[in-house]
Amino acid sequence: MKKAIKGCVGCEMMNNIVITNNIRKLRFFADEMTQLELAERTGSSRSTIIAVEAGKYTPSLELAFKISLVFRVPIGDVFECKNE
Amino acid sequence: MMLKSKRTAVGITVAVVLMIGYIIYAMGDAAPAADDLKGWAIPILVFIGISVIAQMIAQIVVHVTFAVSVAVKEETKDEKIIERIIESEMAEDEMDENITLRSSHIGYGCAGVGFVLSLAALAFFDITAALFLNILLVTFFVAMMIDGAVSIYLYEKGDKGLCRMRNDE
Repeated sequence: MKKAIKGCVGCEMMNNIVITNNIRKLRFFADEMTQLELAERTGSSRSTIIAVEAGKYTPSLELAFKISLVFRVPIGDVFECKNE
Repeated sequence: MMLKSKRTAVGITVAVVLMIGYIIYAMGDAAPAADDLKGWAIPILVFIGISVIAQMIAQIVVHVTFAVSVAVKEETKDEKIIERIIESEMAEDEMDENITLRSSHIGYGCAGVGFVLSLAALAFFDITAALFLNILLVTFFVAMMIDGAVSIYLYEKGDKGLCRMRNDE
């Protein structure tokens, strides 16, 4: 049985969210890691990494975690969610 | 343009050229009689066979061209790096699965609508079985074109699902 979440502040504002990412910045600080290297380390294709970095593709939770694990930062430092 | 978009675009171009060739044949004097269903089945089978071979050749040409362009763009003769880039570009992952799922969903929808329309044409209009067969062939061709076009659109414009995504840079 589903229960209503009490005290869900801002639930009504969840329709328009924009996800931003700091992959370019993180790659720069990771000794200018190439997109190819990041792709290989996350087990995805280079085109997917290019698309994620450009904000053209929303990755799965699994890929998002893999990217954060490569940079050894919390997932919140890689992806940020903003309400519009 | 991504390699996968290029592959799809080349596939669409080859299919269009072959379909034009088939239409010229079907409209010409060499075409079988309208009531000769078996006579039509053979050229359609040949057309499908030629299409498969042509697509394979086109994909090989795309891969070779891509390998050369990578070597030129990256200004390297190191085969290992070129191989790594090609392997990474060719790899199928979650984005490809999502895009294939979406585009084939739309493609199948179009094929279904086309099939129903061709059945309606057979039921309500006085068309021959051979014409029905050709309408079906064109329907699947159009569905394939739409599938490819959607796929290219999603690769180039992005597949953001239900979220909006933006790069911070």
